[in-house]
Amino acid sequence: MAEQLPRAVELVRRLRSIREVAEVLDGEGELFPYEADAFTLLRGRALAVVFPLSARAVQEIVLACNAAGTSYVARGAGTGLSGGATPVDGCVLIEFSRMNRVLEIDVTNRTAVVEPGVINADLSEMVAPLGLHYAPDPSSQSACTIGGNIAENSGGPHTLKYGTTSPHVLEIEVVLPDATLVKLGRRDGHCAGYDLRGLFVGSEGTLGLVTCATVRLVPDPETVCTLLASFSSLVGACEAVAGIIASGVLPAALELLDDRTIEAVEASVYAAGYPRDARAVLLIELDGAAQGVAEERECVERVCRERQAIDVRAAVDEAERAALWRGRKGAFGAMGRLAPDLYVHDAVVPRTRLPEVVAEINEAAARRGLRLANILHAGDGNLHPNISFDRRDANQLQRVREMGEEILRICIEAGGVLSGEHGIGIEKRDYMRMLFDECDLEPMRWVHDAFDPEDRCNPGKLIPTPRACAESNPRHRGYAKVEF
Amino acid sequence: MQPFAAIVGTEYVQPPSAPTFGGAKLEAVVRPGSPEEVAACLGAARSEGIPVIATGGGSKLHWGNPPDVSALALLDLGRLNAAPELQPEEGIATAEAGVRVDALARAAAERGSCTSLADIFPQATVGGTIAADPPSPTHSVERRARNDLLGLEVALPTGELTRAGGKVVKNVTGFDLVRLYCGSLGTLGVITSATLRLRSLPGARRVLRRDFDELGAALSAATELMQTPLELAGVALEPGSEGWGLVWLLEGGETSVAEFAGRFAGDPASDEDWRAVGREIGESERVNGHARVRLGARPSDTRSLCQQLQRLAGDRSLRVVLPRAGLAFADVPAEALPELWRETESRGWSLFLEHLPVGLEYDVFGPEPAGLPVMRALKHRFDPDRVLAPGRYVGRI
Repeated sequence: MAEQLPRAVELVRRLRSIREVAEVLDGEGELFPYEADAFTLLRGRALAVVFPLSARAVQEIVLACNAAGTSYVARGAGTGLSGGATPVDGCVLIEFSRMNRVLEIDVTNRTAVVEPGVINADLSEMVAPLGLHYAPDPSSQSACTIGGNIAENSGGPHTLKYGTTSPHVLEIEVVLPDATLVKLGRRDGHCAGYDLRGLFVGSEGTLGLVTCATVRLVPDPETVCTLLASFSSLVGACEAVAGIIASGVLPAALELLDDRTIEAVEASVYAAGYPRDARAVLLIELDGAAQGVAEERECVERVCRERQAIDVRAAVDEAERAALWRGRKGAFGAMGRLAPDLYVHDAVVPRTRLPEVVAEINEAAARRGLRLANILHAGDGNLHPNISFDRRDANQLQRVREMGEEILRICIEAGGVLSGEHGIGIEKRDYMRMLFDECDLEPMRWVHDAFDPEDRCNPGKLIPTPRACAESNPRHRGYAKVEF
Repeated sequence: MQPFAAIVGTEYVQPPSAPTFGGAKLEAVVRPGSPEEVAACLGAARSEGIPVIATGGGSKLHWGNPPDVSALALLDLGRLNAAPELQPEEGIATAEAGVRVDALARAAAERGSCTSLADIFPQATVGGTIAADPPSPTHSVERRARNDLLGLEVALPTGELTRAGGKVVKNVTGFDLVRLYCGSLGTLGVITSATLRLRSLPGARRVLRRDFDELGAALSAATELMQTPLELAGVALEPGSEGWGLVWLLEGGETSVAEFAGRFAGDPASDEDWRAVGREIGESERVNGHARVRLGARPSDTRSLCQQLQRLAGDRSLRVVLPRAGLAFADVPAEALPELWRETESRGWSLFLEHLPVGLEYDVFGPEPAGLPVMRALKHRFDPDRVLAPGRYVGRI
């Protein structure tokens, strides 16, 4: 350590000397807010947080880190829920919030060129007068960045019809771990060779650093109809989801909120008028041409009533539609009122298995005396069981951890996967073997080695270390469990 | 060929129908009967130093550079053709690599569903279509079959089977290896089965067309059509006997389709008109002394792309244009290729040579793409002994 200290001091000095770096933080108090992203169960302490202003500056930061043999980790807005932006102890945290310019809007080809720090919702707001929007819409879209969305291949309620981030990204400019600047993919979508763009999106910042992206813009639909269907049972709501999909209608969004979520939302500033006596509600959005949407609405209402919906109603105006969505997107915030801490889980199952999986998860939570509320991107089979808890209670914290593992076990036994949109990060890294064996993991290591043979770019994320390593020890890759 | 015979049985190691492939001696056609046998064959290929090229129906086997080895074997996946597993209620279908795309389409249609795989190449299989990732008439910047690919089982040169993705419609569990294998032409591993998104068959389908005296007017109409803020399933321009036809496909609910048709009028056309576009892409005949070229650009550059092809190769060179994708297919005489290559490089377009006259030494994937060093590094990690289609891919990887 005594030998490393001068090297660390020298590295910070070199970072400060880079011309297009806005700021370098290395004070004790300054580093604290950057110890974790929105997954707070594990934390790390960076050597410094650096704010680049250009791709050239990012290259110089990577060069400086490589020369010092120091790891580096990218961070957008820090809204990630799997610890993808949690610093490795002693790393340089590269914070992209100052690279936040929209460089080009191309209306003809419906694309935008953006820096990674552009906030998701800001882009849609900027192009709204042109009748366009950026389709991926995570619940955190008012804060999260496009760069972070690319790293995590983020989804959102409208993924059902429009897809996750990957199909919306045409070209990315990245700084590779050897500090070279390269474009992956092409703005026209006709790239020869391996789909490095597709591979890079969702790689959780482990293959390089995005410095610019060309993303697709989607025309605003002519007509939008948002329906709220309430049910006296969760099973009924899930059956309605299956019925809607089977009918051939592809809603833009098909969200399910259970009674505990409704209760939390309605008691908060996000109150949306969800019926408090319902066991579950479906928020269904249809979009497209006016007459087609009207036809689909009839079909969806019929399906819901056949599945014993208590009530089905459509938002009568834009204000009511916005309120219904405010409740859904504010649900995680609303749960923040229930307890000091919230653990937002994420997994996917085949969508017909949702009723039994949710019931099993609810039973498991009840057995552990935990308060758990469900939000589902039901059309995609994507669950978000949310556990409200108090981390100061060590016993409760232990039960939360066990519950998290059990949720994954239940989902995988039902034919599901570990994550639909939050990623693996450090949260689920060591659970990857619940789904994949070594033969499945080895190609991921080959990919990592091809990009980052020195293992400096966000190390310790996403891929579990080979079996021979002592993976049960959370400190073996530089992260510390939170001391409570 | 003894190591392969020991795995698949002597009856499934067969003499090739041609003595050579791209200048390399063809030793045999090996026909494994299970994913495990495919993996074992790759393991044997590696340990014995026998390069292999995987093939399905052979419809796109000519895509790629000539192999840079003197001898090799073909690995025919045709026996991996068990009945596909269709789960419309889950929105997924799983099929072995050797299942024909048209058979999968028929099976899906019987369940009221469809996949995004291009059903335009005769004899094409699921594995081959994913490995080649070809364009289709419905191709556009936002509509790519690869976006509907959910999971793969892949045999590796280590002799092992590996899984990527899953059997769910949404998944960010680990690196997106599915995207990496798709379009890799069997140079990183050999696909043995795939899980694809199933969608409901549209309730209505209508093909419309307008005819124009010249391409410029047809392109202008296409631009206007594409600006209609409604969902368009596909749009193409094709040469007719006296001019150009703009053909477009509408799919969706009956009401939506009728609504669109009412906004942008066209003459009623038949499904056959739309299939003709697919045939021009999927069943192109070799034209003596010509290369079949696929030129790509941004949709807004489609006009200039067509103009350059007409200038370099003549008015009748263009075979079909997909304006929403910014793609043009043309037969270009060999002598025009050097200038087309230069134009492609200077304008930042993309170029793929599907057929190339014998004796020409072009990289059929066009000018070197950005990221080629990373591609080489990936190939080295996945296939360090260059067993899988050596020399055939981008940059002669």
